[in-house]
Amino acid sequence: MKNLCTLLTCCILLNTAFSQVDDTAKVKLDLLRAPASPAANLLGFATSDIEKPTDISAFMASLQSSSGNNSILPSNYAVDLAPFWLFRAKGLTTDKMDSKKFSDVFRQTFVFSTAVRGADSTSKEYNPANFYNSFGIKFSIKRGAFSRQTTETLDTINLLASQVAADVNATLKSTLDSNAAYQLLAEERRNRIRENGGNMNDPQVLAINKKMAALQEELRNGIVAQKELIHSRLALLKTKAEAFRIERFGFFIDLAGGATLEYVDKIFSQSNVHNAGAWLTFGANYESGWTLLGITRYLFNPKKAFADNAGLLKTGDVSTFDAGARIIYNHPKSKFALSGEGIYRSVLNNDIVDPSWRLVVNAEYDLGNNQRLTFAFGRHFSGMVTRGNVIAALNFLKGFGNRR
Amino acid sequence: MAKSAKSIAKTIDAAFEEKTTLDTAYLVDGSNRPVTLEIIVGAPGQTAVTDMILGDEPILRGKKGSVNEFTLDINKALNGKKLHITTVMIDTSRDTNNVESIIRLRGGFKFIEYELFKVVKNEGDNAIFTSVIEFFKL
Repeated sequence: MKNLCTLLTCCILLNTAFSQVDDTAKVKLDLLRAPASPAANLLGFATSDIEKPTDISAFMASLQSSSGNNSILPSNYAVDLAPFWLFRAKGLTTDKMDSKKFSDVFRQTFVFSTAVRGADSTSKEYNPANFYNSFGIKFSIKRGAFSRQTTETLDTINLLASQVAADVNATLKSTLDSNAAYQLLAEERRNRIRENGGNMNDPQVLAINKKMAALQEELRNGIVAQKELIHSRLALLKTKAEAFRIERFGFFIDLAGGATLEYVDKIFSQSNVHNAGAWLTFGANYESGWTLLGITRYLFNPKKAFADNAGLLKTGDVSTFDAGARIIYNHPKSKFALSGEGIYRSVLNNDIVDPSWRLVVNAEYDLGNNQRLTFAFGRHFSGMVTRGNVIAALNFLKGFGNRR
Repeated sequence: MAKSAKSIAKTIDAAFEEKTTLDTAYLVDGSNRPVTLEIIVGAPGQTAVTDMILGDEPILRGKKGSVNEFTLDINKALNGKKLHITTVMIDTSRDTNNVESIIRLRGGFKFIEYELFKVVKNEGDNAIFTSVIEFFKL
């Protein structure tokens, strides 16, 4: 029952008060965040609906499931592919994951995303007669460094592993050198290789190799079990490795971009751009709980409805350029979080719509037991479909499920 | 003749069989050509540290992660020597429990690659891979 409750955990809005008369356009309180998946974002997919396969088998399974066993084109499908991770990047151990080199950062963070949306009669934004396909990429130009705790834990792990490796190697070497049975097998192998003219695939040579490996394993396991120092270091190594988590802090720059194609009447040759966007996010986060964020964003929305200066509703191609900043304070040990964001929006290709700005302050308090109180106050962009531009919202969020 | 299902299953099992030790001979000749060694460790996000002794000389201490290709010695100088490699693998990845090491030797009689592999049971577990390679000239 508990598991069922956990699965069904959801947050409901118990008390909401918006000053806006018309809220047909959603007021998002967290605009200053580059999408994790640009293609899915442009087609309005929820983060939880995005497939993120970590290996080829998982990707094939996901594709098969969404395409009715490869018999039809997927109609609602979004996927993020990280090529470097997908193809089992051998050699990418923790020592390389804190690399500052651009080539390392780029290949480790590069994500290609794609999404498709077919007939969906419930959506107002998409014509059910058409087919939509979006593509996007995201990568870091610079990323934060390992936190102090991550670095310290990794240094301890490396030091302990280094001591164990040196101890086991030296002890095993001297044990094998003085083991008569092992030396006899080595001599037998040399003789056999001489006799067969250097054929290393000779079944007898392979059998001797196997015997020597088994003896080596037995002796190695004996060393690990008997040497108290190795045993205790391995136990400590396990404790440290269990607690190891990668946390990054410091300056970062992320770039994301994507575009959606609309295939009119589902005909491949009749396609046009439905929307497109590019995000450049930069900033820094600190172990003290402060995060400073800056963003520039370009969005292209053809045939978009907007209100002109006289308040009349018009449609046309709208290209917007947003620039903004956000500051967040959320101490890891504190229940209180405070953030403020300001965005300046300029409509690039339209003289009718004036530039506008938005300023929102958001406070949040964690009441515990899956309860959260949030308060937002500020000014929304002018010239939207909605009337008025004051944002004032007090939300109480309650989650059902296990108490945390 | 077609292989039986049992034989195929046995082959698949062998391919995925855990292997944490290697004991083999690597054929060299009497030339001055260098013999090189490379070690690639994984899976992504894991931690590895390697120690190496060639003959009686420690040649690598506490090397983190993979070992880029480097020259061990020339063919004729390696004859009769043994290379001892110990790699301690630590499961620090939260995506997989696989730990593996690929050892590549070049420059001797022929290029050869060996693979050591294990699936650890729990997060944070470790595995010790040991290898002994004897350089041998006919």
